[in-house]
Amino acid sequence: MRFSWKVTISTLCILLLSTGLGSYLLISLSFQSALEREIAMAQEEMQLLRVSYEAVCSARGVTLENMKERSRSLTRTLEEAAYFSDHQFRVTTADGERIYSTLSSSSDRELLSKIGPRSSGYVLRRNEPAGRYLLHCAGPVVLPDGVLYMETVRDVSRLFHDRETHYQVYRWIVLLVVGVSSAVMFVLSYWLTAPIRSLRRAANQLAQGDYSTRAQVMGGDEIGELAGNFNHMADAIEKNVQELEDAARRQEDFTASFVHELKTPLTSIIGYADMLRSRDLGEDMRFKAASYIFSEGKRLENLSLSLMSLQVVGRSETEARPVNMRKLCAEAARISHPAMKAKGLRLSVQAEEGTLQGDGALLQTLLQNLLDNARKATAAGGQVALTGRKTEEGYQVTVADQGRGIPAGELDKITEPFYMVDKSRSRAEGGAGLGLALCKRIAELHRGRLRFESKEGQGTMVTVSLGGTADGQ
Amino acid sequence: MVKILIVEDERPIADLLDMSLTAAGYSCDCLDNGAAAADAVEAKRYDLILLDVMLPGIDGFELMEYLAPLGIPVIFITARSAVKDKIKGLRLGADDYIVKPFEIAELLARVETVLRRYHKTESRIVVDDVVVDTQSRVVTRSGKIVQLTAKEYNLLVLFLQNKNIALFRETIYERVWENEYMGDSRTVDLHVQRLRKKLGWQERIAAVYKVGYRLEVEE
Repeated sequence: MRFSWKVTISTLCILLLSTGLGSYLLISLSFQSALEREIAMAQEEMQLLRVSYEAVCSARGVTLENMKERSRSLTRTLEEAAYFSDHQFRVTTADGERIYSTLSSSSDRELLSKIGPRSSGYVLRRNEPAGRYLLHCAGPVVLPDGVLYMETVRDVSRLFHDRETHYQVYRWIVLLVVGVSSAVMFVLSYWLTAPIRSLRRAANQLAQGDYSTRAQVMGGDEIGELAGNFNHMADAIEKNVQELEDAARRQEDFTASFVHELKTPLTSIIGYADMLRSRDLGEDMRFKAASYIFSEGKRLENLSLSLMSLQVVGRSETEARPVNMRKLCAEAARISHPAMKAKGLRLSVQAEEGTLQGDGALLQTLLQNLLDNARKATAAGGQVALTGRKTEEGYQVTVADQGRGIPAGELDKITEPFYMVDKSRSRAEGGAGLGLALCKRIAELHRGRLRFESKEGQGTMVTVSLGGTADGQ
Repeated sequence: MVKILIVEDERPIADLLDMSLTAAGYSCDCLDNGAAAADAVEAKRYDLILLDVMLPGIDGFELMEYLAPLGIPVIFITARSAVKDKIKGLRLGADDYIVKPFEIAELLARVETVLRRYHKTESRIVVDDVVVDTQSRVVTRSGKIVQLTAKEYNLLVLFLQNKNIALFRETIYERVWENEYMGDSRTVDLHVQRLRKKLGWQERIAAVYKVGYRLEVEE
């Protein structure tokens, strides 16, 4: 059940109960007091009649014995006296014999039997066929030689009728109040729970994989806060999912590229070998086929070596030893020198003294790769500069060439495995597209990063900022 | 002569395709990128295009969208063996799909099949007095019909597709029986004997020591 429904229904129940019970009590109480008042008045009236009757009897010397003879004159007196004629009453003996009566009903034996010669009493009766409520009062009239009984009847139907009317009116009032207030309550709770519904919708959408969905934050109450927290959670989920998806995509790309890089040389090797074994080829063709098998085999070897070092770097815990960066730069330059010279390039080295915690062999690989790239990019007669500088956080190495540069759009992709800006040229130089991916990993291991600045046709500058391995700090 | 355009950026593979197809009697042009290929099909009529998927610039799938309306049969050549890639290629309108690495006999058979579908090959192959009609699958020798079983006929076509090429027993088995070769060469030998006898090709189908057989035809 909807929350707004729950609120509405529970409010309705409480309202119904409280107003219903309240008005019932109110009506009952007021009825009770009115009835008591009526009873008091009826008794008073009866007392008055009784005392007057007593007085008349005593003045005339009427006793129980001479009652019969005197009754005619007594009756006349009573009928003449304005006071008595205003009221309706009955006088009976203890046996119920009628002495005088202006009442139509017969004597109330039950009531008379209840009261004694000294006390008075009353009873409320419902007169069935007419549905009237009558209040019977009775009291003793004391004569010198006995007791007579005085009875009066008072019609109190109006009270009961009024109570019935009140009940009816109040019923309508209660229904109206409850109806109106439940409508108001429903609208109000619907409005109040709107943020919860919006939150629920957002949660559903999130569950269905729409990670960009956000709840609307309305107001600063608990629900608003909840929506805010929900959005924080959604942010975190979206970020994580994005990362997972990126990782999966990278993995997929890597696998696809790897399969391609593996199958391409294999195709050539198998194809040319098949040709050699099943056909009489001329001298030239045979040489060509064999050369291709050899070069493509080499390419496979290259690929497996690069992959292996990438794997090793990715997995191994690096050694953390103090590495003299000036010596490392000089060593890297020394190793690269012959190849540079053979291509007619000049290599300048300028390295400050500096020590870095790290793995010397890996850092050597990093520099070697960058220098190789610079050599491959630069045409004969160009210059390659290797600069080492001590920085606050560690050490910074820059390799700058005057080569053909990298197009701006490719800069952020070049460290992805198997990515090659110029595939055919890389191939010709035996590259597998893994060099910079390897460099990036080595730099990351040393809490560093690669930065590329390049202008097409003018050259590329790679800056490696290294912080050293974590335990070196 | 049937003209085939090879679009492949890997030089060794492009050469391999070129050499194999040229030896099989096709005329080939090689290009290493999609844009040049798009220009080439406008300049010249080709009967078949062998298209690599991973090309620099415009890739094979993109180029296929351009080529499809031209009605030139296309065979994709790719390292991607994922089924969804194959489906994508075929849905774009390619006629076949060859996954690297492939064997040359397989390549030639697929090329032949696609060309036959487009009726671009000679439907009559004549060697000496033997005439093979690849459309009606009828073989005649000196004008008389030679009754061949389905396997014998496929074997004959395989030899004709690979003239002067030594066919290994396992290659023959895989291509004709379309099964993995289990090392039993007697089935192949038996069928070759029957074929030799029915066509009188005892000399033409030469046994190659330790390898298999070769159909020798003077060119």
